[in-house]
Amino acid sequence: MLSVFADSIIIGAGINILLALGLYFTLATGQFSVGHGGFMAIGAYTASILTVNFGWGLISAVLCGAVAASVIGVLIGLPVLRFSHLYLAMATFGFGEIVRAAFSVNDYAGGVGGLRGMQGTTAPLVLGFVTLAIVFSWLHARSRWGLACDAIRQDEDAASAMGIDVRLNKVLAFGVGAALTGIGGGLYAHHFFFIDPPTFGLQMSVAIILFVIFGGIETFWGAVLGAIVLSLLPDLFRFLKDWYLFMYGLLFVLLMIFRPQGVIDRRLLRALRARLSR
Amino acid sequence: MTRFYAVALLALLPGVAAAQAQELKIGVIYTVDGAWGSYGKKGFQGVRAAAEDINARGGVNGMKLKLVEYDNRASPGELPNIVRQLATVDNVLAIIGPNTSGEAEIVFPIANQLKVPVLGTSVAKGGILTKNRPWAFRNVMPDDLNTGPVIAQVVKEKNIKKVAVIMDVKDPVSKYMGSFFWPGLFDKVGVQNLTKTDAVTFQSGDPSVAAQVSKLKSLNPDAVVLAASPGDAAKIAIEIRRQGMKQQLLGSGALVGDEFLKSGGNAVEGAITAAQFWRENPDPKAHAYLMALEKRTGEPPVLHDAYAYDAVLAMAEAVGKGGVTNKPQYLAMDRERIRDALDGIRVAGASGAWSLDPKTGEVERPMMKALISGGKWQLTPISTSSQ
Amino acid sequence: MDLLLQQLYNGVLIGSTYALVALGFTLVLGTLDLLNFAHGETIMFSAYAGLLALLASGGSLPLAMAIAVATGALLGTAVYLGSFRFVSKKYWTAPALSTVGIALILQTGATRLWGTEQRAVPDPLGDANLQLGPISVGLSHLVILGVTVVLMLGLHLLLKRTRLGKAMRAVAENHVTAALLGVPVERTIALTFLISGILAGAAGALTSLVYHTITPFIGLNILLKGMTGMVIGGLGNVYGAMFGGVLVGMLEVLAVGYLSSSYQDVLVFAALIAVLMFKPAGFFGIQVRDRA
Repeated sequence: MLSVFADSIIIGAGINILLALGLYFTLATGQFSVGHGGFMAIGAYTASILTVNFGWGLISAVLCGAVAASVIGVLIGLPVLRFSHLYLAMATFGFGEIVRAAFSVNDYAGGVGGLRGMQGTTAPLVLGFVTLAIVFSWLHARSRWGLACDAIRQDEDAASAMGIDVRLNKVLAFGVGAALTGIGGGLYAHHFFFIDPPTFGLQMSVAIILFVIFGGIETFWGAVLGAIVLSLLPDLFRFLKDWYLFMYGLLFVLLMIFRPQGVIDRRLLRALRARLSR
Repeated sequence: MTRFYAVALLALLPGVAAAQAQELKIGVIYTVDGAWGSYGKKGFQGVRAAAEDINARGGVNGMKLKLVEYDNRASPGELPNIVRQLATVDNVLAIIGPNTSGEAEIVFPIANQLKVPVLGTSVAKGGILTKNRPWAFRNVMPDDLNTGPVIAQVVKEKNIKKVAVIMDVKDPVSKYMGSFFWPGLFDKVGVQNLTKTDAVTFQSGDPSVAAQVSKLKSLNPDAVVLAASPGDAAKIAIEIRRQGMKQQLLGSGALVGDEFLKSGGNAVEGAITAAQFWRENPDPKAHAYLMALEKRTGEPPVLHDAYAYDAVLAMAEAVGKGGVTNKPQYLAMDRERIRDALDGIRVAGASGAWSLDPKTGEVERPMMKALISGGKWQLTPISTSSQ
Repeated sequence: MDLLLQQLYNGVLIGSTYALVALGFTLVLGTLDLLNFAHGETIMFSAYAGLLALLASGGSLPLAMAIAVATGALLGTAVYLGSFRFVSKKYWTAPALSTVGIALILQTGATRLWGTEQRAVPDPLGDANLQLGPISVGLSHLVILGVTVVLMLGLHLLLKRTRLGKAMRAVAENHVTAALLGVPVERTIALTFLISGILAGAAGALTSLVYHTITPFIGLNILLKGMTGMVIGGLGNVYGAMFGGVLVGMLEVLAVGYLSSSYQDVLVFAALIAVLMFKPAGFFGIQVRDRA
């Protein structure tokens, strides 16, 4: 039986892996969303209201939150289909802010005072979700669906010419991505015991982006690795005290200069596979 | 050769363990980052000063206090791990902190769940303790309890008949004050609240409040109530004066401090608020503690370091009177003893004489009126009447 | 009616500062397709530099402006180097993300240097107020409006009448063609960042005068307003940015004055998305390249 502290670290990292994978699925089709905090919020609030106000069990509440988030994901995915990267980024950012603002004025969901009273995440539960998500991502990468996403990300027109239903895949990417992020949100609420609208604002969306960008945008393993490393960083670098955020920013500037594709990229993955199969 | 060092190290260990068993570990969570970083900066200064002073006097029951400090870097994300680390790895007897009510919403339930006493020194949101008893306490008065009796008296004295309230809808404390507390108070004392149905609102961090102030001006009240954090309130006050309004400014205890005073400058001259911390307290004991605190920090004490100082005093008192053994195998029992000692504890510290209610964990302090006059805060105690 | 006039005036004043923000932002966006997330923090940092100069010189507004503008120019160049010059364009997200990193560095640096509390910005022209009929106008407002107009005019002349302006417009159309035509692309880009930084510096000084106080956290809020103004006016369109900024200021003031600030954010971002969906070119038409 692991210690309470180790449990807490594992749960935190696990939640971040789910959030990162959620963004990865959307990113995989070349859609750079700056508003995934919004999906996280929907998952978190839905699950929390269900457990606190209606006494639902945690797993069903979280799954329900995921469904809610993915419905909104599809609703967002549809209108932004024809947006270019820049517009998509701004539109999704606007979406994230609208969600935050909407929860702020909704007093049933706690308004600016927030919701409290959630609890019940355990390491096995979170690891269970993480395992399922990783298996799902792995299957996706090896499937035709995964290849289609890749093709879309590389060149939409060519993919469409090859017979891939670009619109369906892009909307699906939002739906699936939102669902995973929503699960992460639901678990987050029950691990932190308290949520309020600012929790899910731009800072959170950027943090999730950083997980994926740092780890590597080309494969889902990048999202996993980025989430794990950046979750452990605060505890490891506690000695930096005041200058931690500063170093974080510097890390990103340097990363973009020297290794913009993130830590893990296709080449590295192939090299690792080659070595492992010897 | 390595064997020699290994043996020497082993020989030293019992000594180290013995020395550690003599230390009373108190956890501290604040942050010097973020918009409320000054609370944390002062918080750390206050707890360190108190610990040094107490240890200089020999500690508690022969044991020295040791503060185990964590800075959560304005990130709520680090709090679950920090609280659990303090509780189960560092094995502290109790926790002091954190900076803000939002962070306390995360820290208090976890501490409550892990059965560790936690005392907030700058956590002012109403109702935050009720779900986190019996392990959560705070020695700072929530805004609404502090302000009611004081302002009720003020509106009578100044013959104020009509007020307009401007509130921050993004900050939970201000929103609560503006939506419930102030309207309720004015209803009770028979003052007409011009913004009762049509509220004048802004959001924390809004750069400009010119539109809101123009609206206030058009209502023509006798006084304007600022339901906002100190920095924003100062900004509003400046705009109020700039637009030529001369009304009396009123606020809650949340405004007292350097930020409102310095940022507001001339604009806040004459403003009246409630207060709970009295820097010029003539009581000799409080004065002595305040001097000691100022000596350690090099700056005049404010609410946050004084309350943090007193939090450590309270913990020391609880440890001493509560019969804490400080033996690792009795950690759970020791924490219970501290919790029981904190129920109803009476402390005479840097912030004067205060006590914690055994049922609610809230603090009882004398009430004060604060007026900005001649560029300084002037505090006068008022007699507490039941609200 | 009196209140309405005052509110309209408030709107124009605030809107002109947003317009300055939008201008700097849109210049870089138009030429480079780059969302410079460090723009807001550049404005904030320059505002602090200007404030310190103002305090040190005992209230000299020209000096404060000069220092703020210089700081902005410096930071603009830093962004150029850190997020563009040395960053591979192969990953189109890399430059934008690098600006996020720079924004973080600037914000943390500011909190370390100057603390997290609000700092008052003294009005160098005193509390002097003019009463123009029902409208209360601060003396400093006249300076702010004046400087804003001069800057916009200057930018217009730069773009339409100078070689540099022509080069900037050519690069905004198409880097490759511009290079083929003999335009010094790299240098033009560097100068674009510099000018954007100058505008940011000016915006910093002026906004801090309008708002009376500054904190290290105003950067994001200001950037959002500028971004919305830019979208409404049309991405990459300089004149659109001017119009869009003022429009956002007016909308905001009227929403706050007559509705409730709770819905302010929802309205602004809904407007943003609506414009993106139905009139993506903004009201003035688009001038930015569309990336595949």
